[in-house]
Amino acid sequence: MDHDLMEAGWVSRGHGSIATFELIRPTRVVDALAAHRVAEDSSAAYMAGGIDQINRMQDGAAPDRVIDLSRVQGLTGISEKFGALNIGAGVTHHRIETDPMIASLAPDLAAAWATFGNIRVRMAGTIGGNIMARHPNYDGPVLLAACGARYVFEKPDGMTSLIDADSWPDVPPGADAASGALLTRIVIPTGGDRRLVFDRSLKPVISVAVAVDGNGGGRAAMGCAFAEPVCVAFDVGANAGEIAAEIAGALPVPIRDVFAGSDYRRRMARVLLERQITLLAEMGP
Amino acid sequence: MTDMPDLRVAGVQAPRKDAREKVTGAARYTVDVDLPGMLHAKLLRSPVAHARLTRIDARAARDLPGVHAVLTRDDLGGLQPTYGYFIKDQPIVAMDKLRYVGDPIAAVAAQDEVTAVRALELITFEYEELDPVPDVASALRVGAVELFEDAPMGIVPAYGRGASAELRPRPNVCYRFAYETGEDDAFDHCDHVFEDDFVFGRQQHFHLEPFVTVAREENGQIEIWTSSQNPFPLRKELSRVFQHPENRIRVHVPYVGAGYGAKNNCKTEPIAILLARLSGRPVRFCMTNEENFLTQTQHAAKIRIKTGVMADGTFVARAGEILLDSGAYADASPLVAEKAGYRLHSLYKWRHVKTVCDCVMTNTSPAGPFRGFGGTQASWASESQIDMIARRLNIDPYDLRLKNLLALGDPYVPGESGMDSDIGEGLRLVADRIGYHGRIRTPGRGMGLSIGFKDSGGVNKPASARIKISTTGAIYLQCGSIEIGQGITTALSAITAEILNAPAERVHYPDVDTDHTPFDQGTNASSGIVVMGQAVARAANEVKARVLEFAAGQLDCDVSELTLDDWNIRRGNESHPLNLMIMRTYGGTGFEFTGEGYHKAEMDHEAPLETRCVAWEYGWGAAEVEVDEQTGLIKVLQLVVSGDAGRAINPAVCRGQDEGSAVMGLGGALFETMLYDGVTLANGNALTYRVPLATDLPENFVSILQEQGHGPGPFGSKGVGEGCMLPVASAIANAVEDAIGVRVTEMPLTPERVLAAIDARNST
Repeated sequence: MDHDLMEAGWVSRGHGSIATFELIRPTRVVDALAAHRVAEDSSAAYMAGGIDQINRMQDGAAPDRVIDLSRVQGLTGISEKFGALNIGAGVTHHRIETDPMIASLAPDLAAAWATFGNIRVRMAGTIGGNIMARHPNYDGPVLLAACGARYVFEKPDGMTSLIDADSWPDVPPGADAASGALLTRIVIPTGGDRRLVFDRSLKPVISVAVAVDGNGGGRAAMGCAFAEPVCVAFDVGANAGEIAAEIAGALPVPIRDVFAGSDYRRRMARVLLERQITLLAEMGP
Repeated sequence: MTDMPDLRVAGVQAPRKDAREKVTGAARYTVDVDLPGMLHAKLLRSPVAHARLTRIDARAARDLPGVHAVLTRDDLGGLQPTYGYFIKDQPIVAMDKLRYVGDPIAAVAAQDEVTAVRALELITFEYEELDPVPDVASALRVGAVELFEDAPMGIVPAYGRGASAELRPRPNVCYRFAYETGEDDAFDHCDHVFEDDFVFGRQQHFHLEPFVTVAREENGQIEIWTSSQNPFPLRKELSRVFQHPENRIRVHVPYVGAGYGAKNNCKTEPIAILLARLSGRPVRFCMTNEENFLTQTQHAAKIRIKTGVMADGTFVARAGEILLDSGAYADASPLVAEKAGYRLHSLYKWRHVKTVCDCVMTNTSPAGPFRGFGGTQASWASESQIDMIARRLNIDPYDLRLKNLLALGDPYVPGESGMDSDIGEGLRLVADRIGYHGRIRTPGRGMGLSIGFKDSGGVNKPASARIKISTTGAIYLQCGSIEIGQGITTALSAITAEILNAPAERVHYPDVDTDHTPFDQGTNASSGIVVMGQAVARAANEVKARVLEFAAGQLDCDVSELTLDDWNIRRGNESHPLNLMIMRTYGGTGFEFTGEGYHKAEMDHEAPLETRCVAWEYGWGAAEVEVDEQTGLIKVLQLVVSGDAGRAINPAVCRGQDEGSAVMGLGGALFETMLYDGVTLANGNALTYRVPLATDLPENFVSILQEQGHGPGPFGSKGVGEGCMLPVASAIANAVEDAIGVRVTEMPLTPERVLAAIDARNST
């Protein structure tokens, strides 16, 4: 809850009114980027499925302009290029769960994605919105970091930037909004015999995704336990217990909240990591 | 099981009366009510948990275009501005103090919600903060700041044999209920005395339709449409608050989008009415889902039980203390205390019982009625401890229960009504269904049993019904039971149709309107069938008798020769259409036959709660779990629940109630609870407050609907709807101990708590 509103007596999320805003509905990426350019004393926000943007506005965010991305061409494509899946930022969770190409090239990712939220969220929510929400409990960035995905942004100056999913937490929240960069697609490597497992049984305490490739490389990503997902690379060769212990021991201090303590989260990171690495080893190449 | 009468309409798995409307979206709820010129209300709420309100200035809000009324403490003149059940302590808006984060401070009615919120932003107020009282322990600490320095108006009702109560027995305790029976020295004769502590969580009702009222006042007539479970007591309370004649207050209740106990007594109604009065326009006050969390919750509880037993497992004596977290206002806490305290010793044979239940005030959301009504707290502690005792005595928990259970017909306590189900039979059913006996032991897996119970029918609860039949045989069933999703209109219509030998489709159930509907105390306490059902049956029998008497006069024969058959009179092989007979007598304008019915348990000072329990509602539960000893995560593999409907008026509706309540119990057992960070609710919205999903259901989730036939309701029926919630948490906790040998005594059984118990076991 916004602190100022709380001080004023607004104690309930959704209690405050959503401020008046200008709604822009572009159909091209270039128009969306142009629409995001507003005067210095104004603000703009992109909105895809609308779930998180509306939540933020109910919590007090008050952009002067909201740019609805639902009609923008090119944000909802799914294709394969150069050994990688390209998923448009506007693709819904439900499509990721059911798309034949994703099912063929990354069935483990599709299966994991099918566990998100509930059917209403999966029908409306998008992969791009899930990433841009920067919500510590969201599963998308955890899975994508484990998969070694990259986020593709189009910038107002016409340039394209790529950000590795595991370094996404290093981008300060709000920086993307300030620059007007628009997440347009997510590139997920599919080659190298990658295998992915995901455990969200302890949400909202911790969720863990682990992926290994055929070259002996592994990546473990953890959500819920930190302000942003934490992703760690490791070599598959060692004993699963040792790997898990090493990763868990080197983690930053997990958060402590009403759902669980910090120590429990760290301990669970180790337990779940060991299990998943073991499971991947048992699955074989 | 008794012999069942043959039934034609009741007892049949017929479609619900409200099914088509609800499935197609045509059903009309209070949230759908829209009156011409209607304004919209919003509330300013307290940002602090405990403070003295020193100044409030709403002038700027009043001046905002589009604002038609602003309500602050300055607008309460001429009213009795506080409400409650036994204790009238909750102000319409804050008067002197702010007592929890979310306590209403001011309200605005404006042309739309946005304008109302804008106006609230213009209201300024000042306060002097006081030490907060976040929980029961803080409230009872010596020298703790009191939420109420002066005693609010309150009453203690008359109690019968063994029961008593007291207002404000100690600081920050608004009410104490106590019950005692049997030999004082019974503990002295026990081979073992066990004392254990339990902690119960705090669920929120999470009804999908929020608290909502549409109000108008014209020519001295207050008229409201509201999402309420008890319109008649609500009307009486509004009459007192507004000092307004009851017959000038009219309460309409359309469909209610669930309540689970929350929608009793004043919620959105006083503010909507007052804003309508101040503005001269109809006002709609609809809370948000988040505001529901700030309005009504279940009672968290700390429970200590002392149980004395003989070495062979014979129960001797039980004493207990319950501390209910009542939140900032008393609400229905005294009534919940009665039931929690009265049920704690549970349905076993004791030589001595002594229980005390205190309602403790804290600076948190007010707690009130919740499905199970004190029975959930009592069953959690009682049935957990029964298992713990069994294991300490090395007796199978199943056998220990059977050895000590009350038998069919045994009074619950002296002066109380008898058991009206074979409790052992229910336990055998769930144990057999889950495969309890002879189960093969698997590491990490275990099974647990539990029996929950509560009364069905409330205390001293009257209900009345009227049935009218028109010339053409159209039947009007008028009674105050609210269709809150439980299927009561279907069930009562079936009872009516059965007695009148008519198809259920011919029974119309008009919306409840206190100007025209006969009195009912409320749709709560699983009373729809055992109290209102009896009133409806009497009304149906009375109108049937009048019809037959009329027909006998027309046919010049004795009533005993006639039967009513789908609005025809049968006399031997003859069939006489009633519409023709009526018009021959009353002419073409026709006529209506009317029957009235009433039911209330008799007053009885020998009964501890002044009337004997109308019926007992049981919930039998069995759970099989698998516990992950590395994470503490419990996986419920099987959950078997069973209730006894006596005679199910509609089996599908009864099973729906049993299964819905069991799932609510499952949520409370494993994860569903309001989490406070100090005095701030940390998960008070749908995103962070976890309720069960379909994917949380155990793979083997079974409900067994028993029809033992001993109920006092029509055709041997009993109330259902709450019973199967009661045994779930303790059955799971018992299964956890069976699985891994650790006992978790605090709900919900989160992985972190379970793992802590495992760690404690491993360290000893």
